[in-house]
Amino acid sequence: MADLKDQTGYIGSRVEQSTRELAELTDREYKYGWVTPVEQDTVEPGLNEDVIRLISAKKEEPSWLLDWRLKAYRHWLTMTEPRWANVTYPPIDYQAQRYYAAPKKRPQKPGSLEEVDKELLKTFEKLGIPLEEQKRLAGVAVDAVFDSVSVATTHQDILARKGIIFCSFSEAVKKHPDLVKEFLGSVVPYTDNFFAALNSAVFSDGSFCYIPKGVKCPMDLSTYFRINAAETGQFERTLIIADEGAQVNYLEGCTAPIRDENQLHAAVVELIALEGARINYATVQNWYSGDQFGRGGIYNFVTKRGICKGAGSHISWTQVETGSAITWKYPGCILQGDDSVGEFYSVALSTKRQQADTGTKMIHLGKNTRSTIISKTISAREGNNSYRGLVQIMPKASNSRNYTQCDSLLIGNKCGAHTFPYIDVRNMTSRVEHEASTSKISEEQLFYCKQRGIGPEDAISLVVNGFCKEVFEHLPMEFAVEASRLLNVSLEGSVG
Amino acid sequence: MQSSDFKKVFELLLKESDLADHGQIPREIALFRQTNAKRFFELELPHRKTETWRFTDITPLTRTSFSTRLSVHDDLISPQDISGFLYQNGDFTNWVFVNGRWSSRLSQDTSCFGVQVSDLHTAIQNSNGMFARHILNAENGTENVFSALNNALLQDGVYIHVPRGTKNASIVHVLFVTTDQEHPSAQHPHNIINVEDGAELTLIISFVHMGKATPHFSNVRTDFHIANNAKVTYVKVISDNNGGFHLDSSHVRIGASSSFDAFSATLSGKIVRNETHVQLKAENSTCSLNGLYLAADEQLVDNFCSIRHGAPSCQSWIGYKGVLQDKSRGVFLGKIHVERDAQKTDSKQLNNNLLLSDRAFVHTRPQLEIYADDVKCTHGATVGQPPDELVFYFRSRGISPETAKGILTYGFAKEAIDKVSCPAVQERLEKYILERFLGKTMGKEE
Repeated sequence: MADLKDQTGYIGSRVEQSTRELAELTDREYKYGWVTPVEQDTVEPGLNEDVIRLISAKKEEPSWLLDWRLKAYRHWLTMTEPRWANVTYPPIDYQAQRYYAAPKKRPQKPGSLEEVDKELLKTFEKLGIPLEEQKRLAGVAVDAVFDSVSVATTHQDILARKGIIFCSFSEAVKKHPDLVKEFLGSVVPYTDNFFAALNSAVFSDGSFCYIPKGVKCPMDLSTYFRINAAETGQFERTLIIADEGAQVNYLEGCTAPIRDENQLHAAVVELIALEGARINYATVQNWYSGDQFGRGGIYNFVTKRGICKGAGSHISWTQVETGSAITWKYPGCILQGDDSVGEFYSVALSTKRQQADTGTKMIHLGKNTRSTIISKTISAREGNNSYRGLVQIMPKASNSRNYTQCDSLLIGNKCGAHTFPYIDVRNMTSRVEHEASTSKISEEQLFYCKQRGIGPEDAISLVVNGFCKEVFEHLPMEFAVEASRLLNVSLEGSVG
Repeated sequence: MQSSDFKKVFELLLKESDLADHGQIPREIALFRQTNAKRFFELELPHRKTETWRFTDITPLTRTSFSTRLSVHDDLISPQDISGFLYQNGDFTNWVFVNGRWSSRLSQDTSCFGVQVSDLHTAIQNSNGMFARHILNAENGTENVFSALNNALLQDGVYIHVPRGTKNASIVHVLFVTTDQEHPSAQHPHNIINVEDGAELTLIISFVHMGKATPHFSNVRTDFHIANNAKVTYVKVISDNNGGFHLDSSHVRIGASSSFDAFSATLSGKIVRNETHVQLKAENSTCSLNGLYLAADEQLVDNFCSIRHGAPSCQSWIGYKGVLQDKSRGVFLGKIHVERDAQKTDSKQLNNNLLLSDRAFVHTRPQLEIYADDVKCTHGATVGQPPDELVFYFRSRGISPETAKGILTYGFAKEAIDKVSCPAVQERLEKYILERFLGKTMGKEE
């Protein structure tokens, strides 16, 4: 008996030791926290109609777009900031933000790299996104957005041969006004919500993409967002249109410097899939998340929505949310066409004082529509993570199907994991299933690994990667590797 | 009728009940009523933007002009009229309330073994410190405007006290009967159940309406105070008529190593809302909330269960099943909240819905809020209709699709009823669902 007691005591102390070692692992710095010293062309802080006119003028926009912005702004004035999300933050002073910041030295001709400021090229190279011809990533076309403007878009020529339009939003407004006019705000109208209205009023740049009928995009398209300027919000707008039978994979990445004040990022992404089209949209969000005392970090208030307009179309959202002080994001699908498919795969990590309220909306309108939701949330230290999702089956959506799974992993006893599903069914032939679970990484699991010579750091990474596997499978290879590395870095030192 | 008018009706009623009780009730209880009356007028009536009421539209209720009179005894009811609703078995003691008031005439043989039962009125008159404390505990949950109204009126209800260590006591059955009256009427029963250390209680509460489909409103509040090592089994059966509005809110506080096992059956009623709020205040307790709701025509059934784990090593279970026919609506909101200290919590939540009509509608929200890490929590929800394969299985054996669907629906509901811990009630409910889902077809097939 005494032996047994000794043994359990021994195991206990071993477990304790392993957790302690884990706790002692120092936090690695946020890798992308530096600032690029470039001369900035900014507008004064504050928001009013003049600022909007100024932004519009700087971008040489047609009058219909300015009118649209102003309408959005006037509507925004009538709205109140949503407070229903399970996050807390001090009130945001919208007049203290700068709504436009751009590097001064910019090429006059879009697409010509010779004129791009060397500092900017260096910035993106440092971020792992080389833009120069000879160093470019071979299989991916990149649109690099720096604060409020797009600095370069690679591989445009190859894409153009297939009839694919991939350029910055500002360029699209000039070159393809009809397409922009037709689809802008068609999925996320400016009346949609507070942040969408704000974005519609002040949006600066973003990516525009059009894949013509029957074309399968020969390479992955990607946008890289970088916030650099201080006191500046980023309000980009992305619009992707896949015409009948087209296919595209789209990737999005983002980083920002370390600063003690919070910066606002309110983006809008609209996806349109016509008959038989397929859009895969993947995000690895790594905005600066603030320090362990909750100082600084990005407020990420994003509206993302896709519409499966045509029959048999397919939209898939995959997101890995590791950054931001606050994440408020619900990428959704409106399944309008019959037999259309919507998917949502998400890994959301909140550690330190991060708060995430994220999930999806699947609105089934057409017959035989299907949706799948896989959400994995990880909370560590003092992070709080909520899944909030809506599945709505409308009366005409016969034989629709939804499957939802949301799992939470808790690491440490100061974090929180919450689930708020909303399920609305108005059609009897449809089937909806929802399941969720919450569990933790136990000392026993870590001890089990340690016995087999796997260090605590690797053990956590093993458990977490296993937990997220179903989501990572849906990411392109490079992104999956990057995402899993990101999780490991963010979770270092979180047990104990 | 506007909602402000709805409150006005009760303003008059409150005045009247004040006069009726003038000077006869202890000071703290009078004060409690006043605070709640104030609260009632301060609070907004729930509307579409009220998060927990989003899908429960109560305008048909607030538009009804209720009688401003306190409901009175209806002497037209004879013991024979209600004998079918009572449990005649010797283990039971039956307490009958007519239109919200205790009827000593109809409550035959109220002598019971082990438990002290009385009507709220008598309890207030003879009130002692403990009783007042329990009443005053009803403070919590007054963010609900209807609870506030109930507390303000403190009309009548049942008060049950189970002394320390009581086991094998009589099963208490409380029957609330409403009858047709000239104007739409309202009753506001307020029940208090106090179970001391080591005691056990089985309580059945049923609601029936005798008469036609005249609108009437039951605004029920039931408070359970469960001490340590105690065990409570509670079954509630609502079989109102199609004019009945039923808003029911139960508040349960559970001590250490106790168990609370509740079943709620909603069989009919125009708008029914069952709110159950459980607080697990000490270690090693278990709480299970099961339910079955059947809705047809244009009925709306809303079940809202919230369990707050405030102490370590407790277990909880929420399992509700619903069958929705015609243009009915089913709403479910399950909330499990695990506080930081509530380690080793084990909690499960499941809501299954059977949609039998294209015009029926289900809205379900099984929610989890977890602030402790060493917990096991799962939840799930399903919505669907009987699978074609199963119907085909029956048809290949010569059974009509209607009967097949009836059998499958019966099976679905039966699974829920199996959770009822009181055999006599279980039997009665089983008979009911058999009749409801297979009554029409059974004769034909044979």
